[in-house]
Amino acid sequence: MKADLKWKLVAVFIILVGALYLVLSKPVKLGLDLQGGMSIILEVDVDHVIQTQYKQLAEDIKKKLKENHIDVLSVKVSKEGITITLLDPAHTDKAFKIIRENFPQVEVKATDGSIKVAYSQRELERIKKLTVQQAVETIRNRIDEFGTLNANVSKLGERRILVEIPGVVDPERAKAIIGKTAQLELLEVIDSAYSKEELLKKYPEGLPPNTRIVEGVPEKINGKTIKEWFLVKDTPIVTGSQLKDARASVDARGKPAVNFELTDEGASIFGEATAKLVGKRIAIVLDNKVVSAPVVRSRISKSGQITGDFTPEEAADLAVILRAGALPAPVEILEERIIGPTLGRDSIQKTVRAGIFALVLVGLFMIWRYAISGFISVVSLLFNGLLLWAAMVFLDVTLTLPGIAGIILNIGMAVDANVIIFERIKEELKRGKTLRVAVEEGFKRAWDAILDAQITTLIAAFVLFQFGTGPLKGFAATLSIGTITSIFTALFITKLFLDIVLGGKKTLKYAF
Amino acid sequence: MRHFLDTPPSIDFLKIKKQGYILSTLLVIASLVVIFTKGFNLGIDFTGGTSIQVRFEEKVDIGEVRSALKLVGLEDAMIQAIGTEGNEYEIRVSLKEGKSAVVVEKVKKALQQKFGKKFEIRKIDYIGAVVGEELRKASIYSIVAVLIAILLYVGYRFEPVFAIGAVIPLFHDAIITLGIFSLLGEEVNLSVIAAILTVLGYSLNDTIIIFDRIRENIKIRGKKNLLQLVNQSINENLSRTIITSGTTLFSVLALYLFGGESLKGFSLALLIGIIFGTYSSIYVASPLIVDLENLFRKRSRAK
Repeated sequence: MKADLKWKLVAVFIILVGALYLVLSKPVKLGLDLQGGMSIILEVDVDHVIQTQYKQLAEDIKKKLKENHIDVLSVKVSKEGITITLLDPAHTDKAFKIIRENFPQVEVKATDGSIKVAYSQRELERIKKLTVQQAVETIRNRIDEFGTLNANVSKLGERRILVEIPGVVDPERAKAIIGKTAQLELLEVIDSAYSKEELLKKYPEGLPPNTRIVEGVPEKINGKTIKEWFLVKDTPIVTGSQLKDARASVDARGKPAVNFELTDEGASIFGEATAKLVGKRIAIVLDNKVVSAPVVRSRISKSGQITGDFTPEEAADLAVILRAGALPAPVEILEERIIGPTLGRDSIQKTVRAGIFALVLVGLFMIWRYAISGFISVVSLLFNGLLLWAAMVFLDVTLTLPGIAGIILNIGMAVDANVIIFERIKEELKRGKTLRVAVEEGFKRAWDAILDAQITTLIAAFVLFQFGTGPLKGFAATLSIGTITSIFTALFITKLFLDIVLGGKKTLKYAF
Repeated sequence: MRHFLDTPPSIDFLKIKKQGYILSTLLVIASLVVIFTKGFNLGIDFTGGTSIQVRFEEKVDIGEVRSALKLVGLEDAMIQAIGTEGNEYEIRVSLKEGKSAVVVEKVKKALQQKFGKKFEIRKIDYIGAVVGEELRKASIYSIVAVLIAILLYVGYRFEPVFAIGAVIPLFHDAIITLGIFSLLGEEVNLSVIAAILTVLGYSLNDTIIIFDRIRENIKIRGKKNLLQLVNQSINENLSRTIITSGTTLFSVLALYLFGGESLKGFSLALLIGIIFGTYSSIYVASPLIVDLENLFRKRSRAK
């Protein structure tokens, strides 16, 4: 054997050992469509956050202007920004300056008594990014708190979040845990009634300033379902962000409830406020619904209780969610896919059978058509499979059902390069060239054709990778990795073994 | 026998190129007519909605499933049998019936009422309106992107005439594949689009191998008598065309026959695409080169 062949053989051996090591070192990651599980795509309502921030900002600006003795006629807040109308247009310039100096994060435009305030594009982007980031972290926290869900949470594009939970899950429970905003607010109740209309009727001149109406949770009392409506102060006394702990428990009547405890800071604010509110009611509001509205008997500082129509499981889940914190903005479920475990198992079984069938058929055909070389191409095909698998482990590619289809398709396509070469060699042999020369010519001439042909497959696979979601990305991955490894095995492995088998022989029966 | 086509035959493929053009044009027109009149059976990937795959322990008639769903007001749901055993169905419910939680609850209730507990929900997909719209757009963009990328690549590696000759057949393959899907009422979903993208790549692969041979022969003999040269190139390549299309077809056929229901649509699209892709490399792409080349030559002479 020639020296260069020996070295090549050593190289192949090293690659073989390396690939085997990778394949045996850890199993390839299975997609949810194969192992079963749930995947959800959520969209974070960032506009909501921006509007909330504008509301807060409007309050701050109003306060600042008041300090400087500028009277404000009206303030309008939308998701595009804040429009402030001054009582006296002569103050426009002064107000403009004050806002610019005190609120450097916003852009201010002033025209004749009306001032428009909005975040800069950059600031908006920053807020949006931060919000989505926070939402991702909150969801991760919630999942960590649960411990049992082995979920994967990741950002998807600008404002979306992908949550993947493998295994058997109760979809509704999982969604409640992940998607609940869990914004807890403790608010001072000003008034209440048993319908919205009734409540509104009490205020014919419009609601008092800085208040809002919040709906209660329907309750069953003596077989009748009633729902209370509350007029509350707009700004909460404390919110969920001042929560130290939350635990599931039972209320006085033995029904499931959630006990919460405030942080020291929250407790002192809450204590001060409740001292003034003895005999009045406070509303415990969760995601814009009053879950309960107890009467303050005495100063409350640290702890409180959320009661409602919970099952024990719901109470436990709510405690976990409150502990993990509220989402910075509501989220909406855009897409949801749930695959039971049996379907994935079936799919694996069936596709593996199809794969073996394809492999055997293609292998037998190659040996029949190309004899010894055909056998070599089958070895090369197996090698290709091994490399493909090893590359998937190495690159941490997730194997999905379409991914398996990609591998099977690859079996048919991988022999293509071999076929192009062998047909070319046969042609050269027909022209009377010796075996040696024919093989060299065949490989040289086939090179262009193989490259051009495979690159087109790669183009399609690449676009697919960009556009595809989950499972289809797996297809694009196996197709493109397989295409690359098949070029390598055809041009290197097949060539090497051919060189070894043919040696310096001028002719060999059944070589092709 | 195993040496079939070792000696290139001399079949005059392009003798019937006119008939080839006519057949291809007719197929494309027919496909377009079917697509525009019958439309597609679009999966929820594109329409949005909830899809629930249910397997019953025993054989259940599709009518029974339908009447069960009627009980909960889901008479508009689409029900498709999965497989041939008659115990598995996909129930598709449109977005206007509500979110997945509501729909799944209703369907479960309906099936429990009618069939007791003898069923298993194997898969639930919910796609909101926003995502459906996005996926629809993304599918079209990605097909266009592949076509442009291919046009550029072939234009760069070969002459412009070749690039045009390579891309037109791709439209042909994609339109016919979609036409057959429309005709059969097979569901068009994301994986079918993925299969079509793959077919674009594969069909081109086939074309390029022939083009490569044409290019090589042009280098040796020049462009005189291009028709005969193209014919010869096809003949020289015939064994390879048949063998690789064959092995790829084997693999896809195995996938179609044994790969399970989840991959049926996907492998069907590949199957159709590969067959027409092979046909179009010989009867659309190759004659196009001859005619386009002649056309350009006449033009430049006219100037």
